[in-house]
Parts: sequence; C-alpha cells; structure tokens
Amino acid sequence: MAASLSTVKGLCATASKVLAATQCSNLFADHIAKISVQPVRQSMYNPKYVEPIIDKATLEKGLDPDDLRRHRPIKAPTTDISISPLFYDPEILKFTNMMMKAGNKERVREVMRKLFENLKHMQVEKYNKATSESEKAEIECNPVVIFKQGVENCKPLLLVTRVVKGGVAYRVPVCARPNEQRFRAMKWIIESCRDKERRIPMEQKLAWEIMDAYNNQGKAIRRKQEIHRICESNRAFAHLR
Amino acid sequence: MRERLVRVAGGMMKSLSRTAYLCVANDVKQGSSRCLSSVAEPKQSNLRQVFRTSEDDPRAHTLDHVGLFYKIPETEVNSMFKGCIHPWHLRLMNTFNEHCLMVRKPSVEVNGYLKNMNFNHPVPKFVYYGRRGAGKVCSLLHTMHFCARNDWIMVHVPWAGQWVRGWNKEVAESTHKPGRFDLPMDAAEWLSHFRIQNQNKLKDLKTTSEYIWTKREKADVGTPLDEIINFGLNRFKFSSDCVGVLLKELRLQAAEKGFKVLVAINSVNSFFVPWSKENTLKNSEKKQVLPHEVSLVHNFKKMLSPTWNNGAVVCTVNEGSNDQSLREDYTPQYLLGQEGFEWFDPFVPILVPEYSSTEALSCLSYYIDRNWIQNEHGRTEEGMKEIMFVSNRNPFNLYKVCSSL
Repeated sequence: MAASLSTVKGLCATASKVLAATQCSNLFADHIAKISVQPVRQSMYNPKYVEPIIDKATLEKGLDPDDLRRHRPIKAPTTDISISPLFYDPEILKFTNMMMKAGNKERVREVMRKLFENLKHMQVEKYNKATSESEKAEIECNPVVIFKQGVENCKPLLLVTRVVKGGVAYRVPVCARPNEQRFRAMKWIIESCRDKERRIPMEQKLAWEIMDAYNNQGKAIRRKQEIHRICESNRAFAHLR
Repeated sequence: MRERLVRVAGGMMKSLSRTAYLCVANDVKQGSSRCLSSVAEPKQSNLRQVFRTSEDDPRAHTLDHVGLFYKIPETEVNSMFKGCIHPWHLRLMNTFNEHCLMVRKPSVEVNGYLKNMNFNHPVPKFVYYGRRGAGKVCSLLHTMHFCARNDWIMVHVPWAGQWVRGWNKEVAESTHKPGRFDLPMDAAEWLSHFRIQNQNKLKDLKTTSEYIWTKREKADVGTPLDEIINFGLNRFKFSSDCVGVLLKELRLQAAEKGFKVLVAINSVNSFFVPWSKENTLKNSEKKQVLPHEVSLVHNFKKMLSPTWNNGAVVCTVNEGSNDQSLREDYTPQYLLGQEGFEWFDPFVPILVPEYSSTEALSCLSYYIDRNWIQNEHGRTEEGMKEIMFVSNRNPFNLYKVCSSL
C-alpha cells in the first residue's frame, strides 16, 4: 500500500511538470483499453463450466469427439465478444449508459445513432466537396474515431480531492486513475450539453461538443483546463495526500 | 468520372455474385452507355458490382437499369423536386454532393405503362403500395421525373396527410360552399409548390369560364392561370377556391389543348380515412372536420374520378398516414377503406417490395463509394451481409443501420 502511494505521488509530481508544458492525456491510454479479465474466485460460474466457441468458422467445423464441451456445461458468451464489431464498442456502450436516465436505454441508443449520423454528415459533406486528394486525406470521416479522440482530449490528468488536516480543508491535487479520467471526460461532455439550449436535440448538441473536443475547444475542454489550473495553483498541498 | 465500379471482395454469396456478374455482362453488351474501368488486382478480379448508370434520362430506363443509381441534375432538384424528397433523404443527397435515385422495378413498370398508354380513355390510375420504408415515394419521384421530362403538367401533393390533421391550424368556413372548410395556408403553400414545379408550362393556359370571387373581384374568361395562382397567393382567403379553379381548368383543357397531366399524390389514403380525434382539424366550434369536408380534399378527389382524359393518376398509400388503430395491413384495399376503394376502382396496384440482394448490394456499394459507411467491418463482405440481414433489406432500415456505422 505504502509503495503504491509513493508511486502515485511520484507520478503526480512528474505529471504536473508535463502539464505545465503541454497536453497530458495519452499517459494511461493503454490501461483503459485493457479488457478486464473475470477472476475465477468472483466468477458467477461453477469452475466446471467451459469457455464457449465464438468464431463462426470453428463452430461450423463441429466438435472433436474428445472435446470437453461435449459433456460439460458451457458459459454464455459475453457481450463484447459475441456482438459483431458493427454494433459494439465498449467505450460507446459506457457513454450510452452514462447518458441514460431511468433505464430508458432505447432512447439513448437512438440519440447515439443520430449523434454518429450528425458527425458523419458534418465530415462526409466536407470530404465529398473537397476537390483535391490532399484535402480529402486531412478530413477524418470516421465518427467513432472522432468520438474517441474527443473523449481522449477531455480526460484530465489531475483531479482535486478535499482533505481535512488540522481542522482546515485543503483541495489537494491527486493523480486521476484511468477509469476516473474516462468517467470525468464523458461526464463533462454530457453535462455541458445538458446545460445548453433545451430546444436543440441532444444529438445535435453532442455532435457539436464532440467536434469541439476533437479540435481541443469547447466547454468540456475548458472544464478540464480549469481543473488543471486549480491543481497547478494548489500544488503546494500535494504532499497532504 | 461518372462511370465507376466497385469491386466487392471475392467469394461473395453465390446468388449475389451471379447477379452482380450479370450486371457486368449487360454492361459489356450495351457498350457505350456504361463503361468499365477495372484496375487489375489479382484476387478480386472476377466479382464486381456496378451501382451507377450514366443514363440520366428516366425515359430511357429499362429493366437493365434496375438497381442502379442515376443522377438528377441540380436544376431539376431545385425546381421539379423542390419539397418532394424526404428531409432525411435530401440531407443525405446534399452530403453526398450529388442527387442520385435508384432505378427500381415498380417505377420502371409504371413508366412503361405510361409510355404505351392510350390517353383517350378515362385517366388510368396506379397505386404504389408496400411496407413502410420500402421506397414508395422514391418510385413516385422516378415516375414524376419521367413525366416531367415528357413535359407533362405536374399536380403533385407532397403529403396528403397534412391536410387532414394539425390541432393548431387555421380553418376557415368555405367561401364557395357552406358546410365545407378551407385551409388557406395549406392551399397557398400548394399553389406556390405547383407554380415552382410547372415553371414555363402554364404560359398559354387561360380560363374558359368566369369566376366571381366577391362583388367587386372576378376573373373574366381568358384570364391566364398564372394570374389565378397569383390571386390565390395574394388573397389567402380565396386560395382554396383558386386550387379548385386551377384543377377544374386542367381537367377540362387537358384533352382539348393536348397537354398531359400527371396527378401524383403521396399517401392518398388520408383523403378517405378520418384522422384520430386528438389532433385532428377542428373548426371554430371545436368540432372535428372530416376529410371530405375539407375543400382541398374535395377538389383533389375530383382529379381521381374518371371524368377526364389525357392524363394519369399515380398515388401511394401509406400506413403512417392512418390512425394508429388502422395500420394492420399495407394493402390498398385495407388502407383506402370501403369508400376510398370504391372511389379509386378501377386501378392498378403496384407493389413496391424491399430491396433484392442485388439492389441492397448496389445501395451499400454506393454508400461505401460516397464514404458513408466508415466502419471497417461494414466495408467487408461479411459486414455487408450482416447489414443486409439486420435491416431485412428494407431501404429505410438499411439507411438507418448504416447511418451510425
């Protein structure tokens, strides 16, 4: 525990240095993309259960006569491996669930569909109207890439927590964990859209916001910078963590 | 370069590859109209998908062109097709930076009938019907384009449902006949739509009888129809009557003067089926206005009667324009109801089916060509098959599924 604390502090110190220089968001990208592995101890399944076959080609071949799956119960495939890459992306799913209100997922999924449509309309129109090849090459048309980069740009490196020491509350800058970074980034994007004009549909506001975030502008990015500024000014309290 | 080919990854579904290959074979036979450009790549050389045709004239479209996209010139989109294309479709066209429609079998069939029709008989009637999103309106657009190129006069209603619903609409007592109701705004809107669609075609048309609007205002015999339209647009109070006059003159003069009239009405079933009570039209006494009491509907119903000739009626019936409780089936008999069916009879029902495999593949290839499908998996053969399966090859569903990829 102590060791991990010290590394966090170390990271924190280096992080604020980086912060002073430039953007500092790509540090934890690898950690987030990692697929979480279900530990055996907390598994819902009896250890007798075996893994399912997902690949269609292997399925068509049929099972070997001495395959364990012939006489053992089989686990249900998880969503992330059984759905085709057309309709599944963990980050988008996370975003959808964060935006959802009162379990109304159908509606949020429709919003997400229209959001990607809007992003595509914005970019593909530019692409098709561009005259030269070099112009076309510069335009990013893939809405998922834009979305992910937008969220990536909004991720804060440091966050502040409230620590009470000697009867005084300090706002102490701490290093943000990957999950927290992602949570904050998505939350800020969603909140900044909910603040805007109510007459405009959510998908339109989101499209604008994500496009802005992609270009390192907009409300969510400003919010990140605000947090970073507070961290910078409170760096003297960093040791209180 | 307009003629383009997209090679679809090798090892297609058997039926698909055969049809796609046939397309190419036709192309080679026709030679000049569509040309092939193939960049030789070792593995994918045999299977190609043709999805475009350079034949821009709907008069020349035959069954060979079914499933191919043709381009509509910008000028016609802004005049002929103004307000006719669905907003989502128009947005897609603008994004693609070109206005393309797919040639489909039902409209080619109707165009063939119209080409060989004897117009001395009472007006022939065609009804496009099909499931929601199957492309009824697009078929209608193709037919309209065909007729516009033949210099027909268009009497087009973009969506008839607009005239029988709306809880906050101005409804006035008819100036022509008590017991009927005018929709001044809608009528004026239609008049301007009519004028835009028929620019330069109404020059030598004049009224054949006298119309008295009020004690002081009247239209003498020989007033140009343009003036009648202008009057309707200036005096909203009489706009519904102007529509009636216009339609009557067209009916009377079509045979005499030898011009042809196309009556194209989208979701014609709303002329006959009352809309639900909650958001229906209401008169000044807050009572429901039934479709046959609306003067616009009354006037347009006369266009459907077999009392005139030298024209054609092409309509669509649409589930969506009916009340929630009346959407069980998509056949014209069910949707028009007893009264409507009797009014329409005899007519030729034309089924607009969902995309065939070739058509769906051609649509997907077009989307990929226009950079609309961005998902890497969606561009592969496997992904295309999956999209087709998920959307059930329904054109609108296909668009919807592809919109987020």
